Amino acid sequence: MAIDTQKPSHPEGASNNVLVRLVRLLSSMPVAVSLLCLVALASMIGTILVQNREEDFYIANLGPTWYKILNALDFFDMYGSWWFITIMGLLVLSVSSALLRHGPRFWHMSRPMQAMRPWPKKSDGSFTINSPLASDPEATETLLRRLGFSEFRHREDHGKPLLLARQGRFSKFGFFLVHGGVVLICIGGLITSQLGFRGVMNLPEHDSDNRVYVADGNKYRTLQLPFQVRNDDFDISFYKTGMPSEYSSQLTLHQDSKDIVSKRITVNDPLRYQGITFYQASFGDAGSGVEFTIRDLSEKGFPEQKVKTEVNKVLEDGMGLKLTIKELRQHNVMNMSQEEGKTKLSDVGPSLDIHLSSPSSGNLTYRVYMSYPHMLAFGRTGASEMTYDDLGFSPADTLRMELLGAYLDEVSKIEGERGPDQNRAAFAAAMKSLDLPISRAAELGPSIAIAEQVLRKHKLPMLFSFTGFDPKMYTGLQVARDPGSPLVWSACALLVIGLYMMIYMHEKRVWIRFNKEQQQLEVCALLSGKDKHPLNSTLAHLQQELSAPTNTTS
Amino acid sequence: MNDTTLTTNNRYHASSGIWSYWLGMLVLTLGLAGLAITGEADKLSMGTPFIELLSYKLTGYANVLLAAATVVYIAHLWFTKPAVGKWASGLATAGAVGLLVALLTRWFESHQILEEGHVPISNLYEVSIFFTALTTVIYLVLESFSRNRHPGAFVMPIVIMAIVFELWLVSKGNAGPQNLVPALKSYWMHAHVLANFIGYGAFAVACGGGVMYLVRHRAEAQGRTDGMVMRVLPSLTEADTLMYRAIAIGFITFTIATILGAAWAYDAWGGYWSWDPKETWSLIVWITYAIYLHLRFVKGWAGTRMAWWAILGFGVTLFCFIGVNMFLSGLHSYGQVS
Repeated sequence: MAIDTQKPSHPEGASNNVLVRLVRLLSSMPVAVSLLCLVALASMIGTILVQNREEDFYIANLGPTWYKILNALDFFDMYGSWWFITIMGLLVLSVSSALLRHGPRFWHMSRPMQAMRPWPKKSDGSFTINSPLASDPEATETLLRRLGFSEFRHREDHGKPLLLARQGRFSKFGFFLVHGGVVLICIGGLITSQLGFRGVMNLPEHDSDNRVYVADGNKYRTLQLPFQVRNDDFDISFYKTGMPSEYSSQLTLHQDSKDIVSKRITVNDPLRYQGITFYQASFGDAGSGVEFTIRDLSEKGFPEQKVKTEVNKVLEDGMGLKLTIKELRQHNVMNMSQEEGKTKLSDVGPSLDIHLSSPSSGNLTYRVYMSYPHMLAFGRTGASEMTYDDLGFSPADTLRMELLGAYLDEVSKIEGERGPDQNRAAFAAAMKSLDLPISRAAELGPSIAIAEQVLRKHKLPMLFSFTGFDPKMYTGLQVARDPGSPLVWSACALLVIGLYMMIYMHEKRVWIRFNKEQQQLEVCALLSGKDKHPLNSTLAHLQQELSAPTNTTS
Repeated sequence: MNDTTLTTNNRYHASSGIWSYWLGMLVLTLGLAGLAITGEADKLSMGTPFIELLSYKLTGYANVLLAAATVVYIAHLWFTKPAVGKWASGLATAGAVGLLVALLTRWFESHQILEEGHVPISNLYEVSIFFTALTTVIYLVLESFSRNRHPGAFVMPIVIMAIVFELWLVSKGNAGPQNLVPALKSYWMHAHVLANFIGYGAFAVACGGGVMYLVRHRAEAQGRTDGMVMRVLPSLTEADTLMYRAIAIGFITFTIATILGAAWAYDAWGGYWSWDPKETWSLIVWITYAIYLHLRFVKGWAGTRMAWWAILGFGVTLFCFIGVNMFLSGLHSYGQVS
């Protein structure tokens, strides 16, 4: 029998080939570990420095100098910056180099054992043991087979039988799967970033559109889909706390007047069509119709004006007064419990936020509750919380508002001391000016007195009452084309399988020399790789089995 | 044949017994949870306060058991009788089972006191309990293979830190069952969180192993041949093996968890990777342990440097687990502390 005494070909000899040297450098452990550390550190920066915000935000927080420096280095769109991509690219090159460098050797290892290798000069573990199997190589082979060894070679060595057994022939495939997987995941990501897109589309109910807005740093570019998307219906449900519990949209894709596909999408259930996916991402107000009345407190008699407009509209009177219709809320859940620490949630119904800005009274935001028109809620610019008060009656209550206006008008005419008598006289005059019988004074008087206190306290320029609305919502869609994803998912599967193989499967080789005279076995073993731990339990097990074989075959 | 061989052999043959023991514990957990749920079923109504929930009390009792286990584990360093170690393991097992029963009960309770119930792994308090239970279980499983109960004194303090964190969340009023935001309503969530916390738990065990390694290494460097450390702590090789085994399990499950998270993100946010802070930090954790494995597999590194790496790695893991939710904003907004 021919003995293969040739040393395993060592691929690490000196080479003058630049490419070979480059591959060796890139795949070397210091370079690989440094690149991994660099990716980790750079990624860390991106989580601390908020990404892709507007310029003003950064200047306000960092100052103009730092903004300029960091912006020049693309730190605000870091994950897309040239230098981050370069580091990632180098990492992929390093992993690929490792595949190139070690691949041939590991491939070679996966071939069946060609010939008997001689007793190794240096082993990873050896022992000599008294064994009943000392004269029976065949039975030893059976035993080793039971322990997971699959390849065997027998020969004579100095007159004694020698057995070589091997297991884990394909174990190094784990290396290919893991490192190949990582490279493929990165390639998948690259494909997606080059050929795919990810944008948003806000579609009001019953509207149809094909424009997608794709973020490009902190700007947007428009992209046209080859078909139209129609929002047939948007639906939202709430928890009792007022938090949205689920929202969904009935989407239809159509070309001209022909419907292609239709589906109700929810947050975790998108619509996929021709590689383009539509995700339910958000929702918002698309200009709901609202009706409210305005009482101008700066004018005599507090005249009423009825307004019918839409959310997000701005109303101007041409004299510097500006009303912005901010937000319509259909549910307002408040804790109505009087006891500390207890909660008793109750929905107080719809509200409308109106922002008022005028040269004389500055900026003010009102929150007007439809079911509680007498409640005043407003916040001055800069105040963190809203101020709440109770007017006692609705600003839409024409009788009382006009009476209040007339009364304040009379009060303003009082000269000198103002006491209860003067108040009563002013109130009587106000009643008279509105042709109200004095018999109603007892009914109307107290509420007017309270309302006067409230108005004087807060000095509000206007009062509103919210009378009606017709909701119109848009559905916020995330639209993405992700051609790299199939590759990424398959690569992930390879990665996990490969990891399992790398950690739990090893190539183990065992030599056993049979010493018939002394009833002894000489055993030595080799494990591929630097980490020799996995060999310990195999050797211990082998030791036990060889000294006292358990008979499982009979 | 020498002693080490014998223990290794025992280990080999005992494994089927160990798995049936843990299967028994699983059945016990389910049974106890069934009892707890039947006992509490008619006492719950919409909006029952958190502190009146049975799960809250059970968590408390289980935490007391785990604290006791920690004390006994530490005492076991000096009182080396096997009985002491058995008590420590027993208390820890009871505590872990108690926590899992509490979580199962909370699952049921959430269906009674919220409009829509959910598996209790959706806020920082719930996942901290889950982390406490899983870290204990992973350690105990590894312990039952190695038959050495002394590493418990190094792993259980991490469990105690998690319990202190839970109590802090309770004091901040962030512990009650909450409604889920729509994005969290996904089957991916269960698999993702489960795999993630097996990973976190395993990394915690590795960190405990690292500290133990350093303690023993210091004693050996000082030339000590006797004393508590030399007598009871596992050899450096054994400590190194414990670290490696824990990191190996952790790395595989954490990889799976990250992939599951990406799959979920693909369904919910429209992309498998968004460089969201939580995602990015999980990549950093992954890289940290990938470096550990490279140094071990390729350079054959072991010992002090790797022990430090396991400890550092757990620091990074903790930031990914808790720090991101507390200090950084992003799409994983489930765990904000208010």
